[in-house]
Amino acid sequence: MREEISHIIAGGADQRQTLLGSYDPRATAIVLLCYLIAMLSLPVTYLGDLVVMGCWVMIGAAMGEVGFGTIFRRVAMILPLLLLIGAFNPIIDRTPIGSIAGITLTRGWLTFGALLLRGLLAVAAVTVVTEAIGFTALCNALRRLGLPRILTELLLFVYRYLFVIVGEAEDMQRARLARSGGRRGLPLRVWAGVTGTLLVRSVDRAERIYGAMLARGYRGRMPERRAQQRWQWRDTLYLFTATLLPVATAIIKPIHQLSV
Amino acid sequence: MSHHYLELRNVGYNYPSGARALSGISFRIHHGQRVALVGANGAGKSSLLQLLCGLLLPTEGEIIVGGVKVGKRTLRRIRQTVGIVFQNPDDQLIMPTVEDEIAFGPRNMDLPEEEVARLTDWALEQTSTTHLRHRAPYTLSGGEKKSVAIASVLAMEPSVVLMDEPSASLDPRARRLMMEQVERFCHTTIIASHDLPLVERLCPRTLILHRGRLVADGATKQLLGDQKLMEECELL
Ligand SMILES: Nc1ncnc2c1ncn2[C@@H]1O[C@H](COP(=O)(O)OP(=O)(O)O)[C@@H](O)[C@H]1O
Ligand SMILES: [Mg+2]
Repeated sequence: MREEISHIIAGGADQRQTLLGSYDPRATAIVLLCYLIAMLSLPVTYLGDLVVMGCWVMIGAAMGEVGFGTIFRRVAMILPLLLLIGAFNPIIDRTPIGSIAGITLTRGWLTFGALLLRGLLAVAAVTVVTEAIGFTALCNALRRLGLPRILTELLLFVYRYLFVIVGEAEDMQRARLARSGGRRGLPLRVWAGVTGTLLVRSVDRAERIYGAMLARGYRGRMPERRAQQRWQWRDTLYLFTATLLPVATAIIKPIHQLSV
Repeated sequence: MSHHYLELRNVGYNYPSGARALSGISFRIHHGQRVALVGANGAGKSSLLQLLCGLLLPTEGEIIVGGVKVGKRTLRRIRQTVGIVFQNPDDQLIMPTVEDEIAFGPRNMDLPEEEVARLTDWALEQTSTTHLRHRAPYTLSGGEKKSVAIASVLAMEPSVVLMDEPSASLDPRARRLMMEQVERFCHTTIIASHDLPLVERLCPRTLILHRGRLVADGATKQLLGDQKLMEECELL
């Protein structure tokens, strides 16, 4: 986990040798955006379409040579948050919509499942892209596409700091377990103190990282290789195919009819 | 007297929280000198190094590096002149590959890409890390991380190199290799440490800090041999 976090803080892998990494990052950025929009715009109950959407992510993972282990670990970090958001659906919406093997399926459970699936697919898609081309490259591509620099630099920082916090939390959790004598829970009173310490530690670490960047001449923009990739024909081809598939999945009727 | 030297005149520093870290520090260091900054934990070594590279600005007195006074307006120049190797390389290594890590500084200086490549190759060679160039920094061993952190500072061709506790958390072999690297430096170097054998081997001159004050400045052999002084400064 420690390594995973350092890896994320460093902005993801740098595997330019993969097929996905060989295309212009701008093309991949557009593909990712189109995929996310198409996938998230699907009504929550279209489970069949979501499964097809999952296939596109898997193809992306294969092209970027991103291991399923990496995707699962990243998804596992976000899962608690998704569970928290979706947990009320089954309780609120108890309309029965059918039954499988004698168990009644309610609408709430269905939307809960679809919400979970969509969240997981989004995290998986972002993971595939950041692993294959790196988060820094992704942000630079967005900037070259016209997103203001202030936004892309902000994105980079928020992304890093988020994981700095997760990393510090990991360390503290380990330190606590080492001295807890097997007790797992933590009294509420202690929780407050721990949360405070976590924030202070994260700010300290983030400050040291920022100081180290300043000391090496950082002036508010991440440096990038000057020699930038030229847009080629194969990039255009890739862009069209890769955006068409998820968009088509979201709008073509016959696939909808496969849904529950 | 050479152009590049460091001078502190009556420097003091208070942290915004009000904690007094340093007071009344004055000394001069000439070009190419290697100087140790020795002191117990909390003596103010790290704070002083951060003042010297412009990460903190003195609340009293002045710091002059190579004829330029450290201040808000000269920060860019100071940071190119003075490089700092942090105590914990994990705070310093932030790029996806060793190569990009080392090129981070030169690219920030807006150098042309051929020049960046030349500096990167040179820094890799200087620190014997050429074989690591495509690795991700966070997968390296502690000693390798330290070498890459040093390379990333050397690549900016600073005149002054500051090192904060360079031997902390290194195993004996990594520590020896690191010392051999430092011995090859031709830079003005300031090493903050309480690793006394290291100080003795690398630095002919030593400054001793105690509770934010400079209490001694002289030949390393002489100061480290002074039993009474060392005890008073909580170094024995
Ligand atoms: N960020 C900070 N805020 C407030 N006080 C600090 C901070 N960093 C260090 N200090 C205080 O300044 C003094 C010197 O610390 P430092 O320079 O880290 O010493 P050293 O590196 O010699 O161990 C200590 O008393 C320490 O508590
Ligand atoms: Mg220190």
